[in-house]
Amino acid sequence: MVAPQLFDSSVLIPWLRTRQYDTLVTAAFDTRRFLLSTVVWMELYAGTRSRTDKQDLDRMVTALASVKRVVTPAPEDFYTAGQMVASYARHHGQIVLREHANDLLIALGAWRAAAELVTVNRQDMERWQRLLRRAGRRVTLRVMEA
Amino acid sequence: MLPHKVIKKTLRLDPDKLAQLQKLFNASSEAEAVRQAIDETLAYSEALQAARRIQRRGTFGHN
Repeated sequence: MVAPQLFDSSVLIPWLRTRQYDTLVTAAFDTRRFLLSTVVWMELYAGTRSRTDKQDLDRMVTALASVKRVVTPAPEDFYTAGQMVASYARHHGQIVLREHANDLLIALGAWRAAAELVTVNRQDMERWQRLLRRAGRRVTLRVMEA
Repeated sequence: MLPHKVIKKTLRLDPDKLAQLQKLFNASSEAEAVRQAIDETLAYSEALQAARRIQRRGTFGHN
């Protein structure tokens, strides 16, 4: 069984704007590997500037949800995300939770779904991948060039 | 439970491929596997079409 793929906002926003990464994202749709995180979904809604874009995003999400291809954080993922930020801050200095919470929740969503996480955000996601691995949560990353 | 609108249909299908499909979808029956394949194919197609409309308009993420 081929692993599903969860794309973060750093890939899907340029894909929706300019079709960047189109081959990869379209292949995930064609092979039914595409998963959507509710955290990414929230960030995509924040990017809508017209009613029609919003309506099409609604259709996209409704269609994916109808076949259970939307993943959402579990309550304990918020706890884990907080612990990861605290752990990082203890070793490397203070960081701001709200700047990293979404990335952590997306990474945890990928772990829960046993999905490959596709991102452009190498620095942050590799950091969280390392810390999550130490906590026994292995996340597979695929980093795209910006 | 079956979806609300289901009809009985006679189709000629390759039994080996049907068995593969059932395994692929981890479905409880061959009929369930076919229903899942149809549902997923249509849902992904609909989702991609919606994304394509957003891309064509070119307004997403622009102020």
